[in-house]
Amino acid sequence: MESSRKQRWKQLKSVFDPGFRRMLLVSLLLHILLPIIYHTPLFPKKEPAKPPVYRVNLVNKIVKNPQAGRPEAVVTQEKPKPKPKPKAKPKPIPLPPKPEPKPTPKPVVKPTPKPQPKPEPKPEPKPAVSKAQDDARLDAMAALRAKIEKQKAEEKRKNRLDALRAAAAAESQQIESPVVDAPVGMLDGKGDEVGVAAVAYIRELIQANWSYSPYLSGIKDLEARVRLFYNAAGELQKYEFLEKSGVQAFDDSLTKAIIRSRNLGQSLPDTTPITVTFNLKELMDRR
Amino acid sequence: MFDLVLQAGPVVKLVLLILVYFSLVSWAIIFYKFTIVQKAIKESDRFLDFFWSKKRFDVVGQGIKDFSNSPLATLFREGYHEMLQLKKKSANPDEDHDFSSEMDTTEIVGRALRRATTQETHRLEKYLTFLATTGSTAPFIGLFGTVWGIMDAFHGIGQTGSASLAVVAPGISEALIATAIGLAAAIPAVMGYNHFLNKVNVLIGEMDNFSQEFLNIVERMERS
Repeated sequence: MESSRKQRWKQLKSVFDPGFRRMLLVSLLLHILLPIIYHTPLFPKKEPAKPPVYRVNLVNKIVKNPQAGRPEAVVTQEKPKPKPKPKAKPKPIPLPPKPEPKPTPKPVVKPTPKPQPKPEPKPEPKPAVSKAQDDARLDAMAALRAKIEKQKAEEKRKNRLDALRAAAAAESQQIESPVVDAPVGMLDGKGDEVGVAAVAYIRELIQANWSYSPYLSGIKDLEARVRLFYNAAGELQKYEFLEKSGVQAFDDSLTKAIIRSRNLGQSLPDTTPITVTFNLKELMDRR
Repeated sequence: MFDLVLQAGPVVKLVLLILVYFSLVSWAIIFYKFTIVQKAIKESDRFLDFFWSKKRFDVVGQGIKDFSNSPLATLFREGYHEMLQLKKKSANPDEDHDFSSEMDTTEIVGRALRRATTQETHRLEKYLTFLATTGSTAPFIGLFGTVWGIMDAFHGIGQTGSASLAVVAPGISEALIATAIGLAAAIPAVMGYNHFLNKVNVLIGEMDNFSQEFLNIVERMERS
């Protein structure tokens, strides 16, 4: 009797009862089996999530490994803006010498033609001196003109660039730009290149070139998958519908948009075929 | 779902590991308690039938080995053993007197029965505290993992500078899995705790009733 009491007390104090270890093993097996069962056809998996649809600024460059950032941001919003300014400032420095050559040739040129016309009635001494002077003068004039033209062209180019940057900035703001200083990249970007992914860019371009018939607006859950083959120069080689929507008008509208987007306007870092899914609702929501 | 676990941060992974441990042990306790309590209830029912069908304690004492999992059988064994001890002492009055010799038999047997009841209650309630702990803490541990994961996700959002659903959703989804597993561990633990506590209380009631009946019989025997 005493021994049975002691045995009971021992059992009470022990961490594991004799049968408990076996149950632990059963529980462990259950915890291993559950995930295995989860992967069987008994639990059908949901379709993989659609790739996220981004707004892409079409002024951005297509790169292979885009960095983390926003596809709708503009490169000019980063730092290059302040850089050209200091470049523009040094320009006025070489300018001051420009007026210098002007006064020098003028007094040289003017006094020579003025006194010359008077004694010119005698044409003999002129030809040797004036030809050389004329040549020098013409050269100087041509150099000056070239310089001024170059300067004007530079200014024109700068103005055009500024206008382009302003337009791009305005466009990016129009898309949606919650973060002004956001770098150009993809939201899921893991690379180190400044630019956007080819798929996102092409999708955006086709979206921009897509037009729909108002008769289609009643049916919203149309979807089509298209594989696009672009060459390295960014020109469409061919396309094929992997899945058609079932509505001819929608498929035709996509075909037209794809053909309109046959030239990307920039080269591609990779010529791997690109598969894009077009959803009518998404396309219409983004219009 | 498993991709979400693999993509989670180290803190969330640690939280998930703790929760898996809680779940593992909880289920082991649930299975163990289920067999123990079921056996205790079934054998107690059978023992009561056996006990009332026999008119003599010695006959019941001989057949008690078949009811090793019944708490009532344990109570009977303890009480009967105490009775035999007292009888032995009263039969040999010349033997050394101990402190129990001047006490009432019913009182001594009653004490032995109370001690056995306490011991059996402890045995039946063993591990239930772990279920209670899991039930009350696992959701909070899971919540901690979720809060940590969401903090991480927002940090990432701040770095990419995007607040779109495509960026926010995966981080939050990864974080929420900790709460889901916390609840998955806690819910069966709470259900198991309540179920077994109820069964153990029924058995404690049965033990109390049996002790009273046993003492009544002992007193009746003494008077006769």
